Amino acid sequence: MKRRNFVLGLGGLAGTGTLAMGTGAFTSVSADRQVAVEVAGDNSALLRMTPVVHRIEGSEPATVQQNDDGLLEVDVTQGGATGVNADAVTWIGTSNYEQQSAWVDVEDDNIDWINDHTYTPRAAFGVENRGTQDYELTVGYEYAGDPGASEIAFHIYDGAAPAFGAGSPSTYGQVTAENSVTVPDGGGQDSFDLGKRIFASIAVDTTGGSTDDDLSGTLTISAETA
Amino acid sequence: MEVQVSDDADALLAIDAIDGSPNSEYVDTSGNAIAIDISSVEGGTGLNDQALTIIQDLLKITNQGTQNVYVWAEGLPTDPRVAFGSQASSQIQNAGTGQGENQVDVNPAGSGGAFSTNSNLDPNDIDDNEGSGGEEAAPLLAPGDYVDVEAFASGDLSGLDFGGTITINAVAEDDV
Repeated sequence: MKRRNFVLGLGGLAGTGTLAMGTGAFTSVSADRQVAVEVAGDNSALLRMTPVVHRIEGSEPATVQQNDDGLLEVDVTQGGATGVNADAVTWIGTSNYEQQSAWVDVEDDNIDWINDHTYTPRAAFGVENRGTQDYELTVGYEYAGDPGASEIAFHIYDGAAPAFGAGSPSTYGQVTAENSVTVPDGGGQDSFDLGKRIFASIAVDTTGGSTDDDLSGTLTISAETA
Repeated sequence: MEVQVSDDADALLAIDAIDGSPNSEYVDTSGNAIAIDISSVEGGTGLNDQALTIIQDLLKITNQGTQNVYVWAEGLPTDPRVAFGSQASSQIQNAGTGQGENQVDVNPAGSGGAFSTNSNLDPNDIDDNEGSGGEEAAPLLAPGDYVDVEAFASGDLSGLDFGGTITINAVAEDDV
């Protein structure tokens, strides 16, 4: 039995320089490609939502936390309380967010922000753009039950320190069940561009309400390109 | 007979990132074959759970052959689900909402048409000619046509950690 050597000649690739796209006939192509994608806790996801933690105060607002599923959660029954006080205004996060005294130095929070920053406000939670581009950020709230005469409001502001000058921090208004708040895109100082952080303090107003009032609900945070 | 192998961007079925798209950060085009990684971008390490995430302008797939082909993807994770869709910016032959059509431009601002077999696509009826009614056809690309591909995920994504191979198929219209 003779062995045969087959030499498969590759002919000269004539005219490779003029080989135009769109000149091949094919019946089918099946191309395998690698894809990796995973889920992350809110604290490290593309749209980062994190409780604001202050070492300087020794503790975070116990009512704001990441739950076991990694989702940001506000629960006023943490720590043994059964609810906020009736006929009162309870703040989660500072009510004084426009003032210098409400801010702490970078060394005194333990948030691993992407970009350098000078101050972190004593907010209830923060939202950071960890995606790939500028977005328009919209925040809305919907009650799950009957709030009665009580109301919850999320005061939205950015991370610019008052020391930056007039107009700092930027404030965007209050999110309530009737009113959503939009942080614009577009690259301006106030916009939700890449790396930008937006903060919220929560005011729970039970003035004139009763202990039957249920302020529970769902906060919807959307980051979209316009 | 002459056969050449080309980079994805120059092949008969061109698979490439989209020029100028910020979401090209998720697409590695450095090798001969593209790869997608949504877990290693600067800062964010993954998709938010219990949220709708749409990553538009992820891929552009172009028919550089000589006949009409249906193009679709399979092998994406189903539970939890991350799917691919066709965007309104695509140029295809069967845009529409009827039988045998792809709902690519029904909602230009939101989720587009079906592109992966775990979206609104029946893998056993890619051209949607069997009249089940609920599905779409895969995008049908004439020579020179292209489909812009987005990725989307929503709801309960707990446990999602997908690293694997997906398959992008192109089959001639007459052979489906």
